[in-house]
Amino acid sequence: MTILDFVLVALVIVLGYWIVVLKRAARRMVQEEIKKMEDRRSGFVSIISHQLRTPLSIIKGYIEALVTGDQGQLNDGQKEYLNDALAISQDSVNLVNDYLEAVKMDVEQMTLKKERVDLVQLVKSELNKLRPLALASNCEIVFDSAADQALTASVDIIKIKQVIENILTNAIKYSRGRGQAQISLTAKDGQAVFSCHDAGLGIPKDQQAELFTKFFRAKNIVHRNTKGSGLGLYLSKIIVEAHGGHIMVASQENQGTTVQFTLPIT
Amino acid sequence: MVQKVLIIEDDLSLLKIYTNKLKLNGFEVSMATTGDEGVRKAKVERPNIILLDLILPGQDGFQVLQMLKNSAETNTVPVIIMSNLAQPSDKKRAADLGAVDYLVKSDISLVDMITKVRQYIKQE
Repeated sequence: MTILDFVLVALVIVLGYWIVVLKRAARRMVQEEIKKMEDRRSGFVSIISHQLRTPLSIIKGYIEALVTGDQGQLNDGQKEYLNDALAISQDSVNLVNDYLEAVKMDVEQMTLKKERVDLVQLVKSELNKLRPLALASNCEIVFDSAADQALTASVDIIKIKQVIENILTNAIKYSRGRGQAQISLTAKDGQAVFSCHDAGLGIPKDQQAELFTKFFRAKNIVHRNTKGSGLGLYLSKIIVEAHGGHIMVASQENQGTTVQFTLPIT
Repeated sequence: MVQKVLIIEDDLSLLKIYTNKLKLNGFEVSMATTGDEGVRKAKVERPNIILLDLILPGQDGFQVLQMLKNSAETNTVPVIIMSNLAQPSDKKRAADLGAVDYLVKSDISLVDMITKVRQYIKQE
């Protein structure tokens, strides 16, 4: 090997070394830039959350203080009006929370804080929470758990509660007094299967493909002035799939809807 | 003995609503609209519990919480965060700094707030 060969080999090695170093530096710069961008977006979501929720908190606070008699006793008519206003302000809070959750999921990768939990108890506690709404909507909730024993899964409890609440609230809202919402929780092929059937309005066939898209609301629902953000099923799908499960809907207009989701049992 | 609550909150409407509700429920209430004022009052007045907002002029609520927990005069006083920031990272940061609870203002009722205040004062 001549001196020239040595020099060439050395040059190639040095060049190769610098290419690796530069590539790493470039990758690091890109990663840092992405991180900065994510932080900026996350900060944006935080500030928007604060700005939207604060006036609602104040309105809710004043109304609640009046309803509970902090400024003197009210007559029944005044109480009724204020209770309506309180319910509407709570609806607005829920809408804002849904919108913010959707924005957050667009800008941040979802992180799950999983804990082992008995799904039967989780479902029962959500059903109890929603019984007053069901009662007010003339809808009876019937729970049939084939699993008398615990059905344990590792899930992000807050997020799965959100999914169950979204599905049950839809069933109650869209039943519109037509009888029951039938809930079941069973185990099949290593999966917990949650199912909710209502005999309500149903979803027109030509619109069913859009069910899980953001801000979708079926036309037969919108025409009836039923409130909703159009984000419940969109968020539920993202959450269930992040857990390794599936969510599906079967519906027939004016006959009812069945929403089903699965979660791996651990 | 009357229990004293210190509220550190810069929104005057919320301050009025919370203060009135707490007074009607038998608490003595002290108010601060900035973090610095809150820390000063916490050291002098020795409240039984502190309700702390996070977005404040000057020192933010996290800095205030850190100052309260780093001071021998105030580090045993339970601090409940009351904020409209609701990101899990904010909640975790507050818990790591020593807050006993984190309430999202738009999601709770005034009755919930009173229940929590009673719960943590009792535990002390």
